[in-house]
This record gives sequence, C-alpha cells and structure tokens, in this order.
Amino acid sequence: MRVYLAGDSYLKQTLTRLGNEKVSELFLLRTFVTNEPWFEPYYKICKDVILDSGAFSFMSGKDVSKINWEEYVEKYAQFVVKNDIKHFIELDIDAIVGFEEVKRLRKKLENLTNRQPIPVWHKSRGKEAFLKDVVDYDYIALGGFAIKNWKRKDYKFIEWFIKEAHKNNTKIHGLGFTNFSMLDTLKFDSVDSSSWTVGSRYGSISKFDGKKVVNISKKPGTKCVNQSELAFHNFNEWSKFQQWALYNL
Amino acid sequence: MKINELKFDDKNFNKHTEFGMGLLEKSLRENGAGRSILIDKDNNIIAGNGIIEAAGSVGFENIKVVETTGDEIVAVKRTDISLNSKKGRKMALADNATAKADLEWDEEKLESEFKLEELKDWGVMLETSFSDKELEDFFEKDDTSNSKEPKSIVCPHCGKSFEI
Repeated sequence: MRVYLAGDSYLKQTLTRLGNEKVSELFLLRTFVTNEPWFEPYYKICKDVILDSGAFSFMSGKDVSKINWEEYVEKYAQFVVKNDIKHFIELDIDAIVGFEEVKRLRKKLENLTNRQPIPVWHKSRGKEAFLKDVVDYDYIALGGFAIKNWKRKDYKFIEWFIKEAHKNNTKIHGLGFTNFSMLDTLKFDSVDSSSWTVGSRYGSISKFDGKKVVNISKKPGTKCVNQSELAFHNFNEWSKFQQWALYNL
Repeated sequence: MKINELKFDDKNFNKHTEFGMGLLEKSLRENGAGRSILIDKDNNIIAGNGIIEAAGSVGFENIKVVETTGDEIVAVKRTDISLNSKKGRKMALADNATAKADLEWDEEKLESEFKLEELKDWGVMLETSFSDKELEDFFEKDDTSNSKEPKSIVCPHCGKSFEI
C-alpha cells in the first residue's frame, strides 16, 4: 500500500537535505497553490505525487459566491499539464456548489488535461454515484474521514467500497484515513497522512518500530529547541514506514 | 498495600457498563470482597479495573498482595462463608452475573493492539460484518450534508475550518 505523506513542516529544508536520490523513493500528497515554485521540480523527482485541488484553502476568507471556479479549474489544469502530474484530485466542493456542478467542473478538468482526475466520494453523493465512478475512473478516493463524516460504527462498510472498486480494477485511496491499525485488513491501494507533521508541532519524536510509527512525547517541562531538526527526523521515520507499507500492507 | 497505590490500565479493553458497575458495588456491599484481581510487578492492574473502581467507591482501602510468577493458582479463601449457604450461593451468582453484565469491549483499543484474527482466536468478534439492509441504511441516511447557509467551511481532506 502506498502511504502518501501529506502536510508541510519544514518540508523544503527536509527535501533539500535528503537529496534527490532519497526523494526519488517518496510518495507525497501536495495541495495546489498558485505560487509555490520551489516544489515544482519535485513533481518529477518524487516516486509519485498526488495533487489535491486546494479548493478549500483557496476559499479561505473569500466571498464564495464571487469565486470564479472556471478560472480556478483552468489554472489547476494548466499546472497539472505543465508538471505532468498523473494523480490529481477533483474539486470536491459539493458543499459549496452542489454535486452537479462538481461533475461539470470535473469534466472540464478532464478535457483540459486530457487525463482523469481522482473523484472523491462523499456520503452525500450516494451509492449510485460511487458505482458509476468505479466503472468510469481508474483511481477514486473515499473522503470525509478528516471531518469525521464516517462514524466509527460505519467503518465496517469501507470494505464494501474497496471490493467494488477492485471488482472494476479501479484503485481506491483513503483520503485522510489515518487509522493505521486497520490498514492490514482494509486493502486500500493508497492512503495519505500528515501525522508526521504533528510531532514537530508538539515536540514529540516519531520512531518507526519495524511495523508502525510510535510517538515519544517530550518530558513535561522540557522544550523542543530545534523544530526543523525534529521535523527532519520525524519525516525520515515516516518515510521508513512508507517504504515498509509499500510491500507489507 | 493501599488501594490508591494501584494503577488503572489506560488501555483497558473493557469500557464497563453502568449496570455492571452497579452490580459490582452491590455485591461488594452485600457480600464483601470475593475474587482477587491481577496486577503486574509495577502495580498496574491487568485484570480487575472495574472491581477496584467499585471497591474505591464502596470504601475499601486495603489490598492484600500475594506475589506469584504464574506457576501456582492463587485462591482467595473466605473463612466466614460456606458454599452451601444462602450467602455462598449468592456470591456464586454475583460472580458470574457481574462478569457478564460488566463487559463492553472497547473495539478501538482492541483493534489498535490486536489483529482481527488474534481476537477471533479468543472468541472476540468485532462488529465488522453487516447485512445488505444495513448497507442500504448507511447510504439512505445522509447525516453529512448541511442545509443551513454555511458561514465557515471545513476542508474534507485535512479537517481545517475556513471562514467564508
């Protein structure tokens, strides 16, 4: 299983320090922002990058009714083509514009890039939409985990989604699915996690124990003196887990 | 040893039930202490978190510790009770009834410690199977959409909330 590392905590320094040979083994999930030239070379260097549309962070502080989504999709498509990105996520802004409009924007994105984006299934889309997407697309994602739209008691249904996708030879990504203890029973093709960034924020040290990453909290009353060093260390430990997961989950 | 020297298991797989905890307290009040608990070398409770919680509420203060390395069975001998008495039979009933009523698995904690196969070996079946009807109900009930005009939005990917 591919575990894409998402989020940003001294990532620029970390990737520079790791060097291209090591970076070429990595799977990352990045968010599309219009002005971040430093990362662009890494789309080619990394083993694979999934690009998220960034539509939600783009809306921050804006009058949503005035956002020109046509223009946004065009810029997003341009970026995908320019950087030859194979895996990129649709604008799943159902909560803002409705599913019909999301589908229209998806089609536009598809036409502009001449490749398929990754649709993200949300519960509000219903069963039929999922069953159609697994037929129409090679790679789909299950969303809503980060905002707890999936209640714990509903996790048992995830297996059904995975089976339906695989029945159609479609890959399935658990977007923000960080329940790592379930990953050896739930056969997602990929998931992403920004957990590696949490340690440097709260001063805890990540350690890959050969099967999972454990976090060692700093002692009460102590302070982390070098956050970028900690971020580098934690990223490294998570990348070890990523390599292990690739062949063992 | 004093009861407050014991340490509760922070990964206790049993969430306990209100009814079960009530029965434990009732039994301690009416019958006194019965079966022993199990602690590790550092006084962490391996088994018996519920009974110690109930004993604390009822007012027990002292713990008699029998040290062992697992090669002998430790029996608690109640010298004041005969099995063939009303009280003896009541204790036997209470012992079984409390065990049954006070168990509620903490599935999240179990899943984080054990594989499903290991749990099955112990007869612990989590609610991972479902019927077609349950699946249909899951799709039917959409409790995720918000009909009100939103003032803030939450990114479904990272969980961050944005003012709009």
